[in-house]
Amino acid sequence: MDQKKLSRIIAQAKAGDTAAYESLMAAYQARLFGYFLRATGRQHDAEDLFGELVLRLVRNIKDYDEQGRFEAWLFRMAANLNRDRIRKLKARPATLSLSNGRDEEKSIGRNLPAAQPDVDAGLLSEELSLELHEALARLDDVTRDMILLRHFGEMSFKEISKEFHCPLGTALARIHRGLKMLRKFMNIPEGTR
Amino acid sequence: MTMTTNQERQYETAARYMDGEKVPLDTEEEAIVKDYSDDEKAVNPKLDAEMSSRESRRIRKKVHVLVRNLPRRTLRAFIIGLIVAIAFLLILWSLKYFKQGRRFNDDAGNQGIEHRTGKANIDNVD
Repeated sequence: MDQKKLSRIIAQAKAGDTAAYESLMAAYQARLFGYFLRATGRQHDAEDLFGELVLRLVRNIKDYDEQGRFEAWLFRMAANLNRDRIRKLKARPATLSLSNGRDEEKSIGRNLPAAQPDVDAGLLSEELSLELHEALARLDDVTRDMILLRHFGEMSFKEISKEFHCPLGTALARIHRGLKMLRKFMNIPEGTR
Repeated sequence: MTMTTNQERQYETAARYMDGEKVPLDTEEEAIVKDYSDDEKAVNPKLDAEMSSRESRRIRKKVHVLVRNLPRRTLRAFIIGLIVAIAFLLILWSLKYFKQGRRFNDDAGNQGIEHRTGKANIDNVD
């Protein structure tokens, strides 16, 4: 979407035009959904966060001053939502995992009769590479978010360093180290593109 | 991860270069840029999440429903807020009258005692 058209749609959205919101979300839908899907690893969590983002967009669009990039602003909101979700998950009381990591034979879940197949497991195997999901889960929250915002939000290092309150060099070093770890976890050999 | 001041500076220059700034790079900074680009090109295709047309339609429908229902949501939130505010005011008002009523009863009670005491004294005189 070119800048002129985007500015016009944002102005319409600020005036309360519901069709403008739909146009905005349609333009960034795939990337935002991709971001949420990779950040959460679960289809329905991604959909919930996406819905929440739409509501936040409507609530906050008046605060957008058109100085910075709209995409960066939108993805910052998405990152905040994701951070809130992680905070809520961490605040929950600890539960016993039914699948005890790599020790599948000893896991509790394996010994329980399955009443229904896990819907998410099917979706994950189909469209979300389990290997990638596991690799992303092994990264720390900040590094994972930085990589995802760089990829899906097309954020510059400057925007990322501002978002995470860290020096510019640290942002690049952190993302670089994260990419190297992902490459190692997923066994992507050197020279592969 | 701790970096020396020199490494931090090199990474900063590399980051500025990749952000599109025209900054001269030395050989080490060039190596950082090349290495990073290689890693990014290797990992990025794996990160991409393909959306099926069915999913895309479902999400679009969800956005449509959310956006169209916004006035109703706002109205509902306003009505709930109004009800809560009225209930709060009613509680405050009833508390105020409850206190006033108790004070009135206390006063009336005291007057009753005085009255009875007075009568008793008169009885005693008799």
